[in-house]
Amino acid sequence: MSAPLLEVENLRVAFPGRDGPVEVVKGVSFRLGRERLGIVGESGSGKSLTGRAILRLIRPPGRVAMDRLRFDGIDLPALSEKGMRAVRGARISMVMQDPKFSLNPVMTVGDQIAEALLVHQRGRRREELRARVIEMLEKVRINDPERVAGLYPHEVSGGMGQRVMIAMMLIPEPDLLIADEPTSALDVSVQASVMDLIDALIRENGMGLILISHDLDLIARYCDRILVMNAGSVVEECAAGQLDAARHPYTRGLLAAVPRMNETREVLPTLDRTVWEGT
Amino acid sequence: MFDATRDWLTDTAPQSRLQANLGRGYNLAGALLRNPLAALGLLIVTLLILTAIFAPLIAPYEPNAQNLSNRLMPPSGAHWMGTDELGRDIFSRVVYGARITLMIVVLVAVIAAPVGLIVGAVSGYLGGWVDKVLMGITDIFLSMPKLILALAFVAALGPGIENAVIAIAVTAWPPYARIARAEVLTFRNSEFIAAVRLQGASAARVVLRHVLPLCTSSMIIRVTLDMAGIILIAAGLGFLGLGAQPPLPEWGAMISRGRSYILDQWWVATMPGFAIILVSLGFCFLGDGLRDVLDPKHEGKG
Repeated sequence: MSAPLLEVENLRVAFPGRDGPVEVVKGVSFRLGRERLGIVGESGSGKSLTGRAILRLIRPPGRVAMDRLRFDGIDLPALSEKGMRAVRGARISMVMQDPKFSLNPVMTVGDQIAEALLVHQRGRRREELRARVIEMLEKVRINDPERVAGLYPHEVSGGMGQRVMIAMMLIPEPDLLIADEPTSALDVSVQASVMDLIDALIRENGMGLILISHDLDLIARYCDRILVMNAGSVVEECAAGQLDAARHPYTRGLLAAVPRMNETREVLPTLDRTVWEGT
Repeated sequence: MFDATRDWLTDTAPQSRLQANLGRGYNLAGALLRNPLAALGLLIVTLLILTAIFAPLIAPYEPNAQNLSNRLMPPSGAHWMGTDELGRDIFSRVVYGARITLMIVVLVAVIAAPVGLIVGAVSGYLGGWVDKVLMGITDIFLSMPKLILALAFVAALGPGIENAVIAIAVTAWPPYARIARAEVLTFRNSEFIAAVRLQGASAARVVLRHVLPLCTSSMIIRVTLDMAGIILIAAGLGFLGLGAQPPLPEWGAMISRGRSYILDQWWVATMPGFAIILVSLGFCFLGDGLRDVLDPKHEGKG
């Protein structure tokens, strides 16, 4: 493994509750090279918040604390808001869950992709911008990019919308992509093609990837390493190939609950949460 | 020829974007015209604009030409709306008054709507103490009656059309700020705003490029609906002698001059009054119609 691209140590996120602050991410630590890291866990286990906390996008009243958060030698917590804006998008970007909600409804697809470039480099020429947008749309395998660039988000399908989102996030050529459940709003057949696309682009550009999902199979297939989260902490870390050898009872429980192709069990087992002290 | 054009416009499978957009415009216009009140409003407003543009061609006399031997004549073939106390033709003055009214309305809309929009959007998007301060100021303005506040401003600035416009604009922006803020609050936490933020866009960029365009449609409707109120305030200021100054043919000022003769020469005050009512009604109808047509929630109901 090369020098770490991202180092996270003891990351904590808390929100104020009625009886004092409630910690939703409780000391997550991991290191990431130019590799593909998967984060799995059930709803509310703090996966997405971990992703957003890395980009410092948790709005008040949420509170973030960490011992260390270094990205490519940059100490992120020490950056000013302006310095942070230069990192967001340009160096680290994030693909979000549902293209229906994450694209601006009143801007054309082409303009939104161009916006990502304009935010970081001003004073580009119109034709040059347009050429880059078209080229990027071709890269995410959209047919007839000239036409699609002029469409509004409600005129494209879910899968196309997610490709547009990926184009938007990759056009400034970031070093790290955080994909927060990029395919959970898509149907299964489109899922695979979108994931293959992300995978191909990541390999091509030698980027790092953090894939956040609740789908164990998806993570096992597209990642090198896996973090299993539960109730705000990492309960297990292993290589993707060795998921079967996972030891933590939570991971074992998750694995047991996955239906198999030739299912013989009458009832799928549910998690027995008394085995470990989690929720 | 006409049929071919209409078929091209209403084609359900348009061949180009231009055709689709024009077709949509055609359908919207059709929906607007099917609503009789909206059509009437559109007609009145169009008439007002045409009258203002072609005032010298329409008016039979100079608006300020006095003829003291002809003063206070009742409506007749020569003077359709009669003459006032200086023998000026009231119809010509009403026609020229359309220019002043239209100018005041447009200027106020151009000043007040963007100011309100920006204040509301900034306040809603940033939240926190910025929101508290800006909305506090907005509330102060909202808590005073518009006309009284406008009066106070004109009294401080001095009478005249420009000052009347400034005074009305100063009192007209708070409702827009409120609407824009409410609208922004509904989508400030939405995913696409977060997406722009995590691309590294600054707050100013998010507000100007992504938040404002989403508020404009409701703003346009609100402005059209408010036009009537603006006309009334402008006329009110004119009536009190704080708006347009004589001899400018401003409708409110004309009513004010005619007040002294209202019992014996009713037409002097009544004719400009009709003009005010008609134009206010026109803007109200048009605003209502636009709201029904542009609001997708109402689509398919009427």
